[in-house]
Amino acid sequence: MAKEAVITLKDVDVRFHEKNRDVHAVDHVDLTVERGDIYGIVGYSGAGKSTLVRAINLLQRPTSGSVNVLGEDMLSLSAKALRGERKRIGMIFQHFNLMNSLTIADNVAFPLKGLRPKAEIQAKVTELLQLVGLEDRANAFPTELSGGQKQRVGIARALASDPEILISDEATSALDPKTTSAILDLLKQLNETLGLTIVLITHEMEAVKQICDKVAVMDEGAIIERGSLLDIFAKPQKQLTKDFIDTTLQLDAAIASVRDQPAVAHLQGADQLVRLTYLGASTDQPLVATLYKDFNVTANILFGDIQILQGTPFGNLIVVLSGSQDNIDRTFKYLADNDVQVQHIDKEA
Amino acid sequence: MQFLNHLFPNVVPIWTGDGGVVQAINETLYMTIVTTIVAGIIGLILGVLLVLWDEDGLVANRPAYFVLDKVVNVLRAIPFIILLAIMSPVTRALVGTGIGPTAALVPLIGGTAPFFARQVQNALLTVDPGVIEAAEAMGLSPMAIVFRVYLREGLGELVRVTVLTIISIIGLTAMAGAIGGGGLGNLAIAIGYQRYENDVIWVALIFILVMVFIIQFIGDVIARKLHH
Repeated sequence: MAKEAVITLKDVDVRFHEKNRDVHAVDHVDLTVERGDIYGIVGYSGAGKSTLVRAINLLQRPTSGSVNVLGEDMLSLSAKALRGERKRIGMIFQHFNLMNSLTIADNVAFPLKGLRPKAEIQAKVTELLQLVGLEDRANAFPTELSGGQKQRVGIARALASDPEILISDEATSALDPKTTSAILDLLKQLNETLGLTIVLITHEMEAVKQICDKVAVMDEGAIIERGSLLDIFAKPQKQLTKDFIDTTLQLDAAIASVRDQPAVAHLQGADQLVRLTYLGASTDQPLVATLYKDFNVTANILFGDIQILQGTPFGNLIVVLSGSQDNIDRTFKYLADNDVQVQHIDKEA
Repeated sequence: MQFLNHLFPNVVPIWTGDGGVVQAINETLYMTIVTTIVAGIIGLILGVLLVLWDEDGLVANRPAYFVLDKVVNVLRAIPFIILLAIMSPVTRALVGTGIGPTAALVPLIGGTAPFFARQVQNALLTVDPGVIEAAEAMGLSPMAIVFRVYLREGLGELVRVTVLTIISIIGLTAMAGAIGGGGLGNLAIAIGYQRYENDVIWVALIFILVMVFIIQFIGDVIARKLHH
């Protein structure tokens, strides 16, 4: 199936003046999002993610560059036409941004008010509240709801005008891990059932890992690395990307406790403390057994973490490899040939 | 009656009739209500414009904001008693006379509108900018955002500043009264103070306080209704 680009940003640059300093928030970014993608943009706060996604619906007008969304050259639209286009791009926010003076039902109806017959709006609101699992809270006010429930209202509201694209601006960052996961599942479900294209910005790689199929990593206004989720996890090029991936593994704590173990404290001869990272196919091989059988190298597993990314196993092992220097060198070659990343770990911090 | 005669000997004879207490109450109510409505509308429009033209506003307009902001500041800085004097030619041109409650309306509105504009601006700035952004992202026009978001989400604060403004208007009517505007202020000064009839001053004060308390009470009830 030929994929259709629904968002194309070309050479988008955003600079603004802020309290005696010039901010170069977005630095010549190109970005293409195809229909049906869940595109994650990850970076620390201040990396320019929020500004970049606001260039999609022109809440932030770029200083230069071009913005094409759903076939429209956004920068050439009149104010009225732009408002029409914005109805095709839903947006949800970190702090939900609901109207506290309106009930849940009225919040969801808000974007439709005056544009459609009352009965139709009411039917749509009921349908949307069912979709997000809040049909029994229709007459409550936002202050009576939990954070997760508020975000569900935000999602229902964003879907009211049947958008083709949903922009999620740190939508789970104010939520606890369990609620975050439930909201992400809901987004995934909307992506699959409605064919909704989602651009998700976050500083949590965990969120990206859970639902995104493509990832871009942003730093200082620029996209420094991008690709499919599996490619990025399998072969991260930039240190920042590696750092983000490691946040999903709690690897720092693991390495610290591994260093305390006797097997590490008493490394001998050619023994090597290494981290093995592998994805998908390479996991099918009985790796540890092969190393012993073919190379006479033992692998003492001190820490292991295997997660499933889009149905593909992603493994991280910290092992001590023991054997002769020759055999260990041959082992490294074998691992490299089989797409297993090897990273040496110092035995002392 | 005997008791009232004893307590307010100078008030009872002038209770009704021209220049009497009832008339003074009516004049104060008249000045307060008309000023509230007219200055309320002008102040609301100017306050909304200040929010919209602000640097971070929906239709940022630096020169327009600068001018309006300064005009509001200058008008607010003029002491009301001096404003009364300065505006008297305008009043005469508009109303035909410089004396009486209707004439007092001109400086009252002139003094209140900029005050209320600033209050409205501050009230609307309490509306969460995130909610405004969400409305923009939904494709609402600036006009729709004013009516459906700012005035709706800011309603509680608007009620609060309106109560504050009405109370301030009641105070200003008393001052306008002192220089010939009529009303309870005029009664207290022209009769009570200048003829050493202290009971008249006290009665004028009591009625002014009753008005203030009623306004405050209504404001509290509305505020409670709006609070979720």
